[in-house]
Amino acid sequence: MIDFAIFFFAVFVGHWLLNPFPRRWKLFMVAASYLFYAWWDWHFVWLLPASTVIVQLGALAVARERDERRKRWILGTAVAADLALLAWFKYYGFLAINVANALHSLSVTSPLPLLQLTLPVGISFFTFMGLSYLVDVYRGEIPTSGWLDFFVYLSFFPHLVAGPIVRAPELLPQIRTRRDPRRIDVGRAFTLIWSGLFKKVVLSSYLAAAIVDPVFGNPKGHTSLEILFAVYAYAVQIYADFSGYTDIAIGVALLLGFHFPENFDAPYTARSIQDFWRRWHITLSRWLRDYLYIPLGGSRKGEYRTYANIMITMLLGGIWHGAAWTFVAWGGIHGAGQVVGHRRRKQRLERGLPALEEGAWATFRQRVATFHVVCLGWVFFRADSFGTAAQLLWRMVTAFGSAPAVHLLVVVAIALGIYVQYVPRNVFDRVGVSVSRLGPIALGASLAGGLFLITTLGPQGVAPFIYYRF
Amino acid sequence: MLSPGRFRGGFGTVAPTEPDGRHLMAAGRVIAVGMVVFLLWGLFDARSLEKSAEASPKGTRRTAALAVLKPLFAVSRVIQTDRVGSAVERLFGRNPDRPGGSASAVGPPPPVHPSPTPSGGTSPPPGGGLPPFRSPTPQDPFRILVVGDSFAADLGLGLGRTLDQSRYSIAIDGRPSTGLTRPDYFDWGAQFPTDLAKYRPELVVVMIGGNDFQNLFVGGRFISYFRSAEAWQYLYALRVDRVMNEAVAAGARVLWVGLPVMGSSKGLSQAVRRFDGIFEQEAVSRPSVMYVDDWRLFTNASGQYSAYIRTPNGAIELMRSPDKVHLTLTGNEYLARHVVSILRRQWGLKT
Repeated sequence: MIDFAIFFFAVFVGHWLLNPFPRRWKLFMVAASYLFYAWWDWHFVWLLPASTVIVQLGALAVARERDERRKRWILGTAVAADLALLAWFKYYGFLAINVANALHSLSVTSPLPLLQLTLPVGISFFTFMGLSYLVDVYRGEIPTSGWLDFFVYLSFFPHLVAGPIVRAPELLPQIRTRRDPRRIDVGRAFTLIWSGLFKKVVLSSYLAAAIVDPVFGNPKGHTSLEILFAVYAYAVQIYADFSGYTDIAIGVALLLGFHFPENFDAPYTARSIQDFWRRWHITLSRWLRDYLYIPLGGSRKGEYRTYANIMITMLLGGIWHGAAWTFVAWGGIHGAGQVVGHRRRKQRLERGLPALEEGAWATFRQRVATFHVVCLGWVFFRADSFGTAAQLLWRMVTAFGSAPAVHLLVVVAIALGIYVQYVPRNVFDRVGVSVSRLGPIALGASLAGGLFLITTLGPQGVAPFIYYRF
Repeated sequence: MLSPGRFRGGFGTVAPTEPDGRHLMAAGRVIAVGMVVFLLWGLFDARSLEKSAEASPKGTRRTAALAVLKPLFAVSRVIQTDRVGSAVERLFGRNPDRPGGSASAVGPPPPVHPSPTPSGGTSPPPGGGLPPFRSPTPQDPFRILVVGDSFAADLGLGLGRTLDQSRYSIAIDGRPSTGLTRPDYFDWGAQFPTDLAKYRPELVVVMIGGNDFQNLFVGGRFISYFRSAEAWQYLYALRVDRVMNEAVAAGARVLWVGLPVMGSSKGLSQAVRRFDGIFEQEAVSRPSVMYVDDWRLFTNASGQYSAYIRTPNGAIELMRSPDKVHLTLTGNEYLARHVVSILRRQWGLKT
């Protein structure tokens, strides 16, 4: 935390000093972003320019080409080349071990060497950003960008390691326009950064250490109630972790005068799985919708083809999160949840009823049911294997007994993580307004106090953000 | 359209207000805010920040953070603002000298896994003719304490998955980022007796050393790992010796689990091999202490680090984490089964 604070302070000063000089500012921002990336792992810094060059060359060629067939071929080649980087680092090990085990059962030696490849931080995110730009250019929705602008776009450090997946039309115009150094929205920025840190360092880390890791690490040693609360706790942990990161990223970008899209909108208040995906990792779900689901045909090719498209999209969305069959199962649960919801809505509409049953009691039931389907998905998402997931689910309904791991603080932390999603957004806005009205000394002292509170309440040696691994 | 001149100023200018009453701030003022934050946070939270920076992985980030923060910490010590921060932490019931991780007792059930026949690993020396462990019952479970760094925390979970927890009570005190070289960061010499008194173990399983590839802190100064290798080794062995003696004096037997081969760097792997030698050397003269060498459990046929290992049932499994240091859950279970099979063979552990 402190090393990032030092880095950001230096970048902040440089950013605003160079702001009146666009070219120098862009070079500075690319250098700062590459340095930021190198701090995570310098071995993979080359990936950023490699991905940038592949995508930009593809986009320029696509934009120049008039023949539709050749245009499609260029697009396919560029997409494949960019995806190849992701596939190699993320999926090779998964493929090799599955091939080796399958061939071993036939007494055949696998031709694929078993390599343990380190997954470069953020590769899934900047690859998806690059692909969205490439496809948008192909579709003629945006013009190609200049080289330097595109380097800034893809490497801009606030979104670099775990999103949000900012689309080219959202960020490139901001990169091209100078930011106004007198109009920094400090109230919103600092509120987001502080709440993001609190969610990550205090809430997420506490739940991970107190119940999630012990239970998922040793299901046989825990009873039904402990497992149930560990699953609830993981639901809150992953929300606090990922939305916390997003809050920090959006807040940091705001301090530099940039606006990122929202990535979370109270996901555990969702009334259906479809609704959940409008609220959870919003920038990913709209990416999947625009670049996968709709090109597959979306809902335009009949009912069953729609269901198939939903399932394909969610299964691929699952494997995007990690190279393991448990992630595919997670995607499958969400796909099935959406298909069932889709079908039910259709039947209701055919009977002349509203798509979703209305009323307080119905809303409550829908929210509880949706949350529990999401929690079922989280079991597979967090478990290290199907065996562990099955054990957790089986013991959840059979291993009754005392539950020492479910103590008051765990329950309060889970309740807090869910409750904050029901707090109206304008409450947070009002906090931001109050913060913005403080003078520099009072604001600095408040922030120092807030950070002190976080380091006091949080454990030392906080684990990296969960989504860094994706 | 905004003119370029508009952007040249603004560093100290009073900024406008939004329609919702939100005040916007100029960049110069934000810098002032940042400096106030750094100063106050650094002065009052110096001890916690210093520990956090010390616990970061070695590298440029850690070096840079410490270089910037050390002077601030020094000032905080002189004007004693660090004590204010520590006092506030105590008010919250927190120990300002705490390291990462926490002790946790792992509770009940699981049935027994079939015993593995590890493909690698060396047999430990015989248990010195000690009587076999007693037969545990659900009323009187056999008490095991697993202590050490993150390797111990993970191994503890692996043992939990492997042993019948209705008859085995496993307490884990695995503290990430700790070791025997830096009592200024976390003092196992003080913590270990507390654990022994608290859990009254019959068996202590120790796995530590993953963070000890560094200079050793003693009497207010550092002994270089490289330049004073002999002194370093002597002092490190003394600390290992002390842990073993305390456990034995408390009536427990000790199973010291060596560290596996490392894939992250050759330097760490060599250092770990050196630590394993010290652990083995200290264990060999004590009948109540047994050393388990798991180095070859995680190597390939040519003795090199391998992330993938073929298990006795024929399947290839990923055993090592992406950092090429820690073990995956599967790897921990694999190691735990190896440890249990040795305990069964050498000390008659009833599974």
